[in-house]
Amino acid sequence: MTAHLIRLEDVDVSFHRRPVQSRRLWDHLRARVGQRRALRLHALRRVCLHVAAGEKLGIVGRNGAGKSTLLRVMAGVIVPERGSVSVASGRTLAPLIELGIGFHPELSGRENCYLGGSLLGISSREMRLRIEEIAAFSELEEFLDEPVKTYSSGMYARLAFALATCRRPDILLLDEVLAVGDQFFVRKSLARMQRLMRDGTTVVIVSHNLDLLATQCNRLVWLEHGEVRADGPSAEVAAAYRRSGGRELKC
Amino acid sequence: MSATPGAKTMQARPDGEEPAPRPRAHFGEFALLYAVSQMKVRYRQAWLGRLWNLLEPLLFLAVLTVVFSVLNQASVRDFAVYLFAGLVPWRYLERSIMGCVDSIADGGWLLRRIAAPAFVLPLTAWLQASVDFVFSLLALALVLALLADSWTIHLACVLPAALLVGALGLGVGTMFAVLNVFARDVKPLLQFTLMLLFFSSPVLIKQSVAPADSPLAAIFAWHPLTPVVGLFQQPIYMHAWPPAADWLTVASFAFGSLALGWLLLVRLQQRFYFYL
Repeated sequence: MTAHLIRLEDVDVSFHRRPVQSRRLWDHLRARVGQRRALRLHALRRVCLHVAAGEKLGIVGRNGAGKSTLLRVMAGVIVPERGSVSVASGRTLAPLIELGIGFHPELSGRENCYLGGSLLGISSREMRLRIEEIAAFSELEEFLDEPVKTYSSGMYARLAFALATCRRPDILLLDEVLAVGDQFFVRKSLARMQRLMRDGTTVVIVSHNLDLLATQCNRLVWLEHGEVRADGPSAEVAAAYRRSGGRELKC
Repeated sequence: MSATPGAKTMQARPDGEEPAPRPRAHFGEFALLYAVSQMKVRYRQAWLGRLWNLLEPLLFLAVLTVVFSVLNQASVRDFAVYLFAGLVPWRYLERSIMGCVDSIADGGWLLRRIAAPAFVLPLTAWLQASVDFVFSLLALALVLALLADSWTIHLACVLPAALLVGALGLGVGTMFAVLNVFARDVKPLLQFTLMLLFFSSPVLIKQSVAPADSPLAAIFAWHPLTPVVGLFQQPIYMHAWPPAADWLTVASFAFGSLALGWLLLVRLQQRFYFYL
């Protein structure tokens, strides 16, 4: 039997759509008495997904399809309204969501490495041994003691990727991290990612770069309006997605 | 539904359930590192640097001492000891609560990206307030060394009293930090309430000033801060052991608020993501 590291069963996630003024007491009261119903956006609907150990899963879909929400559900950042999510216990999970791992903008790159490292299970003692390697890989040696709020999005993503992969995680979740780096860094990151995958890391990548997903992943999930439209070998799903030309699924 | 043996399962929002697959993180270490970093950031661009940790409480306490010793028609020397004895625990309580209140609402940088337990955020704010309190205690020791006539055995009460006030600050702060995520009115309302409590408490005005049957005496008798600051004023200013009733009252406030804060956090933390 295939050992699944991540299992999602009938997962539903929806968000309240909140106009800027909707947190006023008056708006809450109006919503309560039904004069104005809260609008809900269904980000994920009845999503079932099993990710096996060592699998390289890509997630593709148009903007707003629910890709990042799905990754957040896997990372445990969002708890679904319905359904269940399970991750094999005792496995290390490194999520790279919104380009970072809980980086604080006012703190320096070095301080954030220690902070983020502690969230990834890397102690300060171990981080002292790894920090130079992280700085070298991210090519940020000169900027490591500057606040990350002064970093470009590419620098931010480089540091986050270097930190998340400095020690092999069992599961690596990547949300468009490679989209903001320059081509040289992307090539270097892909090489490291491939090495991690060879060593057994399960990788889930969200990206709009279909070529990247088709070449790096052995399985692709196509999301549309929060539902799984296709799930299968990456070449087949990528071809079907390309053929769709971005047209929306008629519900 | 079958699941992988040994898997950690997260059901759909059953309040109070363990919410997440998590990395084997060092959350205690994270809280400590974050608190230290925040303290470094605070005075990073100040010429006097960390000296402000000591200067700030000394200057604050000195100004209040001069102003309120005039209002209380007391000698500065006598009133300074009384005021410091009440102000130091009050500042700890107030800083703990107000530090915590924003911590989760401003914690999107963490909670939107990783499955961290939200409690680390108020805990970190409380740790910073606790370090400030240690510096305030140093300022208090300096004042006692300069102005107090004698040091008595009753000062041994200060450590357990500080632990109780710390627990109270963390408990109340966590409660309001959770509520502030859902309604940002909580912070200004809390600020106003704390200000009202402070100015009506026996921190600034000596209880002996109020005539026995006056409304002020009644306010002091029922004021929630009276037993809290009493745990410090009694041993430091009056050289007496605080009454058992004060210890019991403050301990009940502290552990009650900690339990309530924890309960609120556990029940509501799964909804934070949608409000950050």
